[in-house]
Amino acid sequence: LEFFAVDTSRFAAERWEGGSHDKSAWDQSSAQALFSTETSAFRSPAKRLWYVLAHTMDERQLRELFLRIGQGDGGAEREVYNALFQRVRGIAHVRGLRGADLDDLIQDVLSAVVEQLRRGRFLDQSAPSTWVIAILNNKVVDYFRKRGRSDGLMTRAADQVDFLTARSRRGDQERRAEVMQALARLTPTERFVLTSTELAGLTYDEVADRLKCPAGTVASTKNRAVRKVREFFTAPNRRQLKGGPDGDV
Amino acid sequence: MAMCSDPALNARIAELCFGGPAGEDRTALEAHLLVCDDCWAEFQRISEAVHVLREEKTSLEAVMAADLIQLVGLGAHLQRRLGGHRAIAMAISGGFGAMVALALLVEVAYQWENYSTWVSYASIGVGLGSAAVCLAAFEMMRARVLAGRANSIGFAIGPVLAWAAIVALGVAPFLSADPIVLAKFQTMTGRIGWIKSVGQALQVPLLALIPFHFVLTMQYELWSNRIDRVLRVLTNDPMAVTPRGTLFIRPVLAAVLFALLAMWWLIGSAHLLENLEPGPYLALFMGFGISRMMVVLVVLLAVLIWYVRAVNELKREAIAISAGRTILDTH
Repeated sequence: LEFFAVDTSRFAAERWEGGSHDKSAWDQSSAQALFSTETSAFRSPAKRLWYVLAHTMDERQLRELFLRIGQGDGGAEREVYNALFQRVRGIAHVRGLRGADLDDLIQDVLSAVVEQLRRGRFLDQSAPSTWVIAILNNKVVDYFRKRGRSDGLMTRAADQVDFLTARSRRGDQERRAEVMQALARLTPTERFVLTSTELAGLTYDEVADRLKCPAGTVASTKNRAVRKVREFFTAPNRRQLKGGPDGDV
Repeated sequence: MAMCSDPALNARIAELCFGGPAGEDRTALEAHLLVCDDCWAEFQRISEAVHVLREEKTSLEAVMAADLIQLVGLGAHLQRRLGGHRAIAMAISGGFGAMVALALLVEVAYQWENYSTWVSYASIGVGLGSAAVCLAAFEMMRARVLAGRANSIGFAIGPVLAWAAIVALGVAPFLSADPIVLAKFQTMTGRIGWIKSVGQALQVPLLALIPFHFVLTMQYELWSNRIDRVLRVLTNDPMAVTPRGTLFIRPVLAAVLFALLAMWWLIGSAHLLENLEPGPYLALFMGFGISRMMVVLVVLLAVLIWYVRAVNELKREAIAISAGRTILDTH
């Protein structure tokens, strides 16, 4: 379990409860306090586990909470915030938002979710999660439009501070070793396609040009590489996985 | 493994971490992430890995370069016709063909008026045939090396020797049983001289086949990920073992052997030219003889240059690939 995620959710919830609904109140210092592990009140693993179990929910529970917010239930707002905060943040991070921009956007999205629920705009015709993602989509598009960035830049720019950095630093060596192990299990072709697209930012056409093969082959090779990486990271015991690439290069 | 209620979406979580997919698929995946704890846990794990992957730029660039070299370098060239050495293989085959054709012309040059009706066509025929057989032998050897067969050089030498025997014995009956070349010393009969000349022409493909086979084998080793073996052999490591059926002639030794052969040709040709008796076709004989010697020298020099460059290139690639593998292995 990644407990840091729970810590930030809790502090976000407290911030919310404290009445700082106004986006302008969400300043840089608040964001720093929110994500600082030093201020975590959930240092005990047992408490953290309890917190995780108490704050996970499925589509049906989320729908019930949405409806309760529509009926003016303030407690439901906090629960929604707890349930959604970290995940919305993770999704926005994958879309290329970083640091203070990311915090602002999450605050913006969750404020909009709660505001629209209060006004009864959730019509219960779509899944609650899809509805939240639609709001996130709109906010992300607005953000990049304001910034004048193109959509292609969204998944790049890994140099900035982000929600993963704290965790990555904590287990830096271990994480790096795992990634290297995962890469070592790929064939040279799979590894090159993965690293050249993810690291060097090459397009499928550019990789195809270098490898003298069709772009479709590059795409399918990357899918295979991603699937192998996933298998590695979801395996119950990674150390026991057979090392080295299987098949030909 | 995940206990997600929607395995189809769960299978695509990693894709999301790597920046794909787009549109409705992406929305569905992200929405699912909000309500599925298993997928969320998986998303976090893989996202972290992707993050580390993007942060590890310096070391992974070396890995990326090593992979690219292995994928498009000399090792990968083994998949191509003649192992990517088309120019040198054609030069050797062409040289062999020219040597056989010139051998026939040299043998009859002194009595050109007796043989001119058919020998020009015959020399072109045996020359082209020899070049084609030699080229086919190279390609056959490449295919066997690629299949991992240990005795691949024998399968290349066999057809060349068989062809040389057929040509030598097939043409000999049409040549004179008496000496044709006039010199101050006893010369061979036309038939024996022709057979001896075909044997001399074999020097070119047979000497070139050994380094060619070695380079192909090293390419196969690179392609098969046996980088350490290649490095050990090429850096003269005491523990190095060449693959079964492969003979490694170091470039320096190859240069010495080729120089000795070139000297033998030069001295032999000079001795013959100095002792020739005058005749109406003396100039024609000398022209063919000198051409044959030049073909040998040029082809041997080309093979030597190609061999040194190929061995250096193999070493360079092996070092680069090894550096990339070391980065992965040390973790």
